[in-house]
Amino acid sequence: MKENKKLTDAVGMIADEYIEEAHAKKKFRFNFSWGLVGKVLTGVFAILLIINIFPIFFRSYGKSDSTSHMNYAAESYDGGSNGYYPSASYATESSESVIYDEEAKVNDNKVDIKTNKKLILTSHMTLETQDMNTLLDSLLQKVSKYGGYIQSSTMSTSSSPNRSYDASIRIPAENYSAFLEELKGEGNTTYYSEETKDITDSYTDIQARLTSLKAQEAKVLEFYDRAESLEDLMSVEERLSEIRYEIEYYETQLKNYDLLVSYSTLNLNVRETVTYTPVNRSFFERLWHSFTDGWNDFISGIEDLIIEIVYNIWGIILFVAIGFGIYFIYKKIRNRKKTK
Amino acid sequence: MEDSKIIELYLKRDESAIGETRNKYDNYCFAIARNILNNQQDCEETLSDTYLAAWNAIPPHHPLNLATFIGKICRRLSLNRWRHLSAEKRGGGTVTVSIDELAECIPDERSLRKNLKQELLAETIDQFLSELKTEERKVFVCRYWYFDSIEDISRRFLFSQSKTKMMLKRTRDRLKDYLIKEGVLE
Repeated sequence: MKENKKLTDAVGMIADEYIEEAHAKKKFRFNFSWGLVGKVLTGVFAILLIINIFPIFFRSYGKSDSTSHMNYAAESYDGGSNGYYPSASYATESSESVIYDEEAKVNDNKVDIKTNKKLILTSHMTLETQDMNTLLDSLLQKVSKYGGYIQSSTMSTSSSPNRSYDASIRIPAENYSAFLEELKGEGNTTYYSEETKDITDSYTDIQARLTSLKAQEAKVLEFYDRAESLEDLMSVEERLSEIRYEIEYYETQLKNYDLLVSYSTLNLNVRETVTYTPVNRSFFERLWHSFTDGWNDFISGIEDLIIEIVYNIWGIILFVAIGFGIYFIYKKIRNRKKTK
Repeated sequence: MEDSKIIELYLKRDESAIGETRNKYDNYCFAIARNILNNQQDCEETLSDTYLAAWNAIPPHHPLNLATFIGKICRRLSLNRWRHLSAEKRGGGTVTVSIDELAECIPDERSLRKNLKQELLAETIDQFLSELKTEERKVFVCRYWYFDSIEDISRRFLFSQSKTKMMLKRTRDRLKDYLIKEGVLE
């Protein structure tokens, strides 16, 4: 038995919405029998699988910018939500306008909801560039210009032009839009999504707890002044230190929240490419593009296959030599037997 | 009776609140307790303790969602009882296996960041869960919050048992990586 009590209890404290979500699923019963529909679906699935598996052979030797990725990118760029969070407080690009519309409506009623809301903004962006070095220089300049910082970054080590760069960038919330606009002009944006987490409830909850704890502290201090025996004094002091510890903890949590709200996070993925992925294409353009991309991937796959063969040439020579050796020995033995 | 009305009864200190809660959430709480304790008598005792704890907690608490509030109390009390019984080498149920699985993420409390508050750890897990796909999140919560068995989860989500196990394994691995990335693990 190796229980980690802290972890088990922490899982017990997770958000109500998740527990509810799973609980709601408990009520759901769905019995599906595999009839003709199941067989048809299996057939369609098998065909799709074959269509998708065949190009993988060439793609595995080719560039990482596959056709399917391009379609996905274009689809996402058209404003498609990732579909993970249909009901929670997450907002994609399309739902962002709804939030601002609501804010505008509230502003009409002379209530400034924006100042009361505590929102943590996180975005994900995929950018294509033809010159990785220039883009990185420009990115660093922009981050420092807008008072942000790079929280973490990873640069792939493969050779140009297939390099990729991932970074988590924190930018002050008030400068975020300007930073984003400038960054979008630096390359070809193939994917962008925004998530907004509303922490207003927990923030106000903590504020209320703090107010109540401070009131408690004042009361306990009164008792402290009135305590007559040493025992009373000790117990009051113990309670006082508990309250102060809790106050400190909640104050730190509020500071953390403030930091999260005041700095927005951008998870950026930059890919170096020779040709940009076009967006908003017609069916025939996409068809032509798939054809040309397939051809390019095929050529690239063949090139890589040749490189692989050259790379392993010594091993291949050795195996061929051993093969020939065995063949000649076998042939000699057979000839001897024949002559006998 | 609606949750808001039951909560009102609690706030008015009307004892019928306990009866109403029992009527509405007895099966739900019993399912949580049974997954952890696996013993009728222990479950019934825990359920009584749960309603008493709810009575003592409201007020000052004013739960927004009574079901999860009662569920959380029941889970905590069941786990406390289970720990007590485990110390006496009794009890069992799905919880032993689930907790062992969960401990794969952080096997030892000493590997946690010093002075790490329970709430902060919960918040990090919360954040991690929000980034999961809905289905993965539901399976995770069913297994490690409700302590449902693999068979039950597979039946509920129409997965094979091996798929459920694999999904949980991947989620645990990702949780471990996430905790390291967030600096929760030292």
